[in-house]
Amino acid sequence: MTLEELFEDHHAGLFRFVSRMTGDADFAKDIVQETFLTVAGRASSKGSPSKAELYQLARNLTRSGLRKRSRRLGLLRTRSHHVPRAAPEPSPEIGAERAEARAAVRVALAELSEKERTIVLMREEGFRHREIADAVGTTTGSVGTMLARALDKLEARLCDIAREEP
Amino acid sequence: MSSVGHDASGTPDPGLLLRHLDGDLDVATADALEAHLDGCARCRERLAALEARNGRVRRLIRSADFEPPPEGAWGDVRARLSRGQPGPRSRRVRRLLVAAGLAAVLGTAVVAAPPLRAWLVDRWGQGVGGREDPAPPAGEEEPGRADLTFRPPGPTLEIALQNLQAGGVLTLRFTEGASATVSVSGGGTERLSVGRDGLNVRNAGTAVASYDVTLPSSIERAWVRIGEVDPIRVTRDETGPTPLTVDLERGVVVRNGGLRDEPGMDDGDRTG
Repeated sequence: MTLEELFEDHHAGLFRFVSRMTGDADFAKDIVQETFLTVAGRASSKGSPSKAELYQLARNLTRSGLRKRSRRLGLLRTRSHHVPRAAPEPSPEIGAERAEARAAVRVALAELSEKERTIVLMREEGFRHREIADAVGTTTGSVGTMLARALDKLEARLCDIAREEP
Repeated sequence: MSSVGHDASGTPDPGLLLRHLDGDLDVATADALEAHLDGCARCRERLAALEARNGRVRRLIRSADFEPPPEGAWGDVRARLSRGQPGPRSRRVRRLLVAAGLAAVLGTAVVAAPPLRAWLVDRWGQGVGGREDPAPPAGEEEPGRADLTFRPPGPTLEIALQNLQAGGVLTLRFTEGASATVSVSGGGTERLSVGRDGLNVRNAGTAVASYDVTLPSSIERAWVRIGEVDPIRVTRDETGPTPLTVDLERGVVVRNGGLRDEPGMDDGDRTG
């Protein structure tokens, strides 16, 4: 498979994955590019990476990118209920209420641990529990348990946010 | 009755049920679970509830996207490959450094203007440009503030420590005062600052400083974030007037005034 074919197959999912992980579309665009540039820089004898390897690479680049950004600016990742990161202004087509709902989801996702968020969002990209377990370094059973707990947290947090909104 | 659907304590195992929902069980386990479900009303109810929650949350996650992937992304990758240009992170770093430099210059000018500074101090307390001591000579490490007072703008506050420490505790208490206060003891190089989201503490992993934080009457809930550890959620209703203490070596609550959520201690893989 060529790099372009690999890109066509996976760039949209990777962009969606990193956007949801970070709430930052610009950052996600950079990470996706960095992911494929890294793949391009690897020895051709390695062959094309699997989907899981691509996502694992993107996840690692996301984590290192966020750490560097946080270190250099002296700030921590923004996960405040009041200021979701990179929440653009709603367009007339979207509507304010829908934009608020989206912001609430982003905040709730951001308040999971990085591992929980990875598990939830890799599942959304169609990965099996075994693949997710390999990617995050845990067991398949733990993935199910952490996923169930993450769903509980997400629903509870989204209910909290809905109650807090004026 | 088969116990395949239950965890060690005998309650329905949500992790196993979720794997079943996702079609992720091997045939033998799936058959055994189906047989168990036929005879276990608790597990059937748990599965139905899990399925409903799963559906709601997944629909919400999918509804939260409104930015499609950028157009022409492959062209950008191909162009950079052919030109051998620096990666996006290098450009981003340069932009951030330039922006940070400009912000530092502007921020110094703003907080130096007396009327504006007075307004900022009134708004945020001493945490904004409130340094009364003269700046240290160039080249010296600026010591962390020993105490800080500020007024959070909303009902939620984030307290973010950069790292777990070698020792020390964070003590948190809800008061009826008007301002939040932070006192540091046993520290040396910790840097405290107040940002848009709350209190930020730049600390080293070798530090043993302790932090005493009082929250004003306006705060209903706070989040304590320490490095990569799961955040600790604290609410006024649950905690009451009794101080809550967080062990900064492990990132866990060691004394609590009431019911609270523990961070994810039972997943056994926080280092991942």
